[in-house]
Amino acid sequence: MDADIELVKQTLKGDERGFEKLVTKYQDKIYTLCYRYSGNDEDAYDLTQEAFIKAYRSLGTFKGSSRFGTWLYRVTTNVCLDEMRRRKRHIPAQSLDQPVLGADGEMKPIILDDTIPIDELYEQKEQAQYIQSLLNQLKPEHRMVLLLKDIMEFSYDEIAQMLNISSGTIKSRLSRARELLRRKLLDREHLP
Amino acid sequence: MGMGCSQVYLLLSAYLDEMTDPEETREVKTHLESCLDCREKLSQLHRMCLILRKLDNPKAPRRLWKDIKKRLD
Repeated sequence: MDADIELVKQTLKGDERGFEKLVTKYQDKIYTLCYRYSGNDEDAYDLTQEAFIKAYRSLGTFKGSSRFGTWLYRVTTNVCLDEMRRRKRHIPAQSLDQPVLGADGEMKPIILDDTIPIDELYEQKEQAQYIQSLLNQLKPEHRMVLLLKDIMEFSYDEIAQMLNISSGTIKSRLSRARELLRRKLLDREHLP
Repeated sequence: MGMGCSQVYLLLSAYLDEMTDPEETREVKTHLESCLDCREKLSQLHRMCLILRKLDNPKAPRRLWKDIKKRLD
């Protein structure tokens, strides 16, 4: 019997320890998705909490037709796509030359330093920051598909279940997202 | 007459994931045999995906369950 199903049943019987174990099991992966989607720790933490709370409150609707993990990711992607739009703190798709609205409401320049020598940019931290800035450039729907495929490593079928979209839509969004990243990384010589 | 670069470009991402249909797969493979540009683009896509896969991702703060529990109670 699926261990997750047992924990779901335990939770539905009123024992919160079942849900605590599910949170412990999935928290890092869910947080990673929320972090890469939102681009910052504060929003990632809020989104992660919202996802788990929404999952807890709708646990009775989980029928076991999919794996619990798939269902949880579906809840999480809905939270990310809905909540960030509602809060209007989503990272909008922006060109590299346009200032962006920061979380505090102030307009800020894009933080990309073209004066940093390329060899230093290969430091993992700078590269990771630059990649996150590129992820932030993507339209939310394209970003989510890219994250689910290339960071979370889900299959097309799993992504289709999570986002309730067709394989054709996945291919299209993934192709556009990857092409943008490829061009930008190539421009900055980040593709060795 | 086989596919040109502009058609193949659109399929490279799906081809990388082995998600092209048999006809598309055959056409892309044939094109790649004679097109250095497209082979290079495919290689760039592959390397980019590896970079994304190897990103060091942050872990959830350990206080997460406590904060969730406060809101559930």
